[in-house]
Amino acid sequence: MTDAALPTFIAESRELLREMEAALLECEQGETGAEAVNSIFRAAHTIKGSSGLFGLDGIVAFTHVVESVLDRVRANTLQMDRALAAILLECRDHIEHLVDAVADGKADDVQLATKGESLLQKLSARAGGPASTHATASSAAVPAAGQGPEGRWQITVQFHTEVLRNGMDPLSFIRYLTTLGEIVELKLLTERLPAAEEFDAEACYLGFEIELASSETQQRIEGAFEFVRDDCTLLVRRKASAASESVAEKRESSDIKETKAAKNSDSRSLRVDGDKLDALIDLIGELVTAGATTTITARKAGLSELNESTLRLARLVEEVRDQALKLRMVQIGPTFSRFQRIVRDVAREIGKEIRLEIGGAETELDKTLIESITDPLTHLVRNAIDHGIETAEVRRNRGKNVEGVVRLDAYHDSGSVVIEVADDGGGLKRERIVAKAIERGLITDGSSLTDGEAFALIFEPGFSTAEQVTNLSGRGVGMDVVKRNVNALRGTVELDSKEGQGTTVRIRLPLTLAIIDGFLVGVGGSSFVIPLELVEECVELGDEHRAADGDQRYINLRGQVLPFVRLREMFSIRSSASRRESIVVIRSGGKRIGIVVDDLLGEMQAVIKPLSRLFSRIRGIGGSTILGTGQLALILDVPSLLDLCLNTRQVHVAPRRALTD
Amino acid sequence: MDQDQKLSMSELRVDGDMTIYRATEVAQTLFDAVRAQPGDVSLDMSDVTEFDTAGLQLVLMARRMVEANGHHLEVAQPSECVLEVLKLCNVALNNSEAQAAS
Repeated sequence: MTDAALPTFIAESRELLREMEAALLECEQGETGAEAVNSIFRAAHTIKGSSGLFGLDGIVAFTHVVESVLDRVRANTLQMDRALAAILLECRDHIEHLVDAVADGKADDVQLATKGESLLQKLSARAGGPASTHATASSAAVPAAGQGPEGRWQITVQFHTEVLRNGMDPLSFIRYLTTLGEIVELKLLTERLPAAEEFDAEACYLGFEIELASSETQQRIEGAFEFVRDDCTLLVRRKASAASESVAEKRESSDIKETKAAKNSDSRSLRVDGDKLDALIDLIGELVTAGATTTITARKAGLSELNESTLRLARLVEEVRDQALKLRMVQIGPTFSRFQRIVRDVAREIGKEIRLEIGGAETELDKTLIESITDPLTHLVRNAIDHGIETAEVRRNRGKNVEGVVRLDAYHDSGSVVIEVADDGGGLKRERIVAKAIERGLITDGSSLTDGEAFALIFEPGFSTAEQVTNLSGRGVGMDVVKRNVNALRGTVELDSKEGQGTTVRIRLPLTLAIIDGFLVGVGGSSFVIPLELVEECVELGDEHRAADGDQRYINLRGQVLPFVRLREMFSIRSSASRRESIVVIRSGGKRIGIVVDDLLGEMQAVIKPLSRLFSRIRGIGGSTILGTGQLALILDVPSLLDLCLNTRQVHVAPRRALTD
Repeated sequence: MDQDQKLSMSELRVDGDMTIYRATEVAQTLFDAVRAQPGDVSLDMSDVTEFDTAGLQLVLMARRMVEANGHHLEVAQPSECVLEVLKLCNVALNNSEAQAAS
């Protein structure tokens, strides 16, 4: 094994550790299912196996002990309970630290080693010594009486050559079988052992033919080999009497199929480099352009058959584009699950009883979005735990359930994804927010604000109403960062709160960063795309303003001052203004501005193509997209455009107050 | 790996782990030692501390090599972990007479 595989090992281990964490938390909450225990065991087992391949003895040694304990839980000789789950959780963290140390290139950390030893002591104190003895099955044993309808199973398993190198020991699966039933007969298949010269000590040549007396189902028995499914050829069938031999034959073949199907579903997901995906999506963008050109050429040629086939092609290209964009979509569930741990740890630290509920785990969104949304979500969840949920005492006095609930939810809503962080805590206190905002000079008078506007104040920089600052949140950093991060993803944050009943923060995000809903406008011969969610309204630019070029750069829009810019001037487009111009009113970051264009061309979905590095310094433009006609349209980067014109036009738009609205 | 010559029965001893992690190393030493024996071999496994499938394969291979020359290999005093595997896999490698005599 080369070191090139090490990053994969680290990434896989981290993934497994996350699964292990989720399952352990489940166990800690008293919902110990066989599935959870299996998944914990699988994680520990695989990590141990892979670390062995890399010669990471520290991880192997530590994980081995954890695995042995888990093995006993799996075999039902040790009970999984809260205390054990808590210790195992600490062990999991330690494994994570060990893996991190490997990732950082620090092989042997003395401090970590000491920590590991004390943990193992704790573990063995709880689990009662390392588990080295297994219940061994005697081959001549008679099946125990009174065990329900028992069947005889014929199990033939041939382990593949690589199984040992993959960190599995076939014997452990045979041992596990003894927990499912009684091994009546066992024959070791040694035919594959080669001549001495060809013998490879690390290859596996063994197989087993086992007759098992068990009341378990076929599925359970096959499940015993779940971890080596890819590394063995397994055949399980019920021993039949001579009369039903033919039926058994049929079953046998269908069993093989079943095993194969299960195998396939295991290897159905695939690890792909993100750059390759981006390259694919980029290429498909080109394909769309080429397709559009072809369509136009075909139309000019006037051949109806050609026309038809290009249309069909265009439709297919569109489907391919949608599918490719879907490849980047991942479920939010695993991200949500990570918060179980945060909630548990933080709640414990500050002595509150809090449960995390998760909804909409299967909601899919762009992978980049998921990565960027984790930090803001962490802020919000911590806020909810720290300030939202009251202490147990207060809750009891208010007649609420002592256990507080934080709820994470995700769902699709009209072309965007909504992520909610809700708590059933004390809610926001409007008066306190308004008072604080006045004290900080953010507003002068709060009486005219709606509830929504008042709550929105907590997203202002340096704002915190918490009376008690803990080490988690409440230092006035957080909410404004949340808002900034979400806005950077072209999303918005809303807040709902009822005093005494709780708070809900709603983050609305675009489905993907690769596509935007745009509003297409034309200036001269050029086209521009404005992100649709920023567009408030479109109004006609009256004649009285057209004449006033140069000095007057704002209009009176229903009694309010609206500054505007002309795209023609901003981008020095050399064409005379059309007779009718329109203003697109956009709002971004609490500021409102008008953009003067020639034509309003309507809504469209735009696949964003980033500009090449050559143009990276150009402000006001965020990317480009290709129109159905094959023409290029520039996508306006509204926030930077706004900065640009507010800074240069400041002199002209006198009352700044009007801008902040 | 020690070896004592006692009459026609040679005694070999394996200590420590007989697992995948040491398999290649143990295989080489064990097979070389076995090849050097002219007659029957008694394999002392009383100090084997860990024993897995790879270990089992080594013993099976050693036995085949000895048997190829028309001799026998037996495991003397298997340690607990060896015995457990042998029992589990229903492999008879220890001569019960020899055990009864000792």
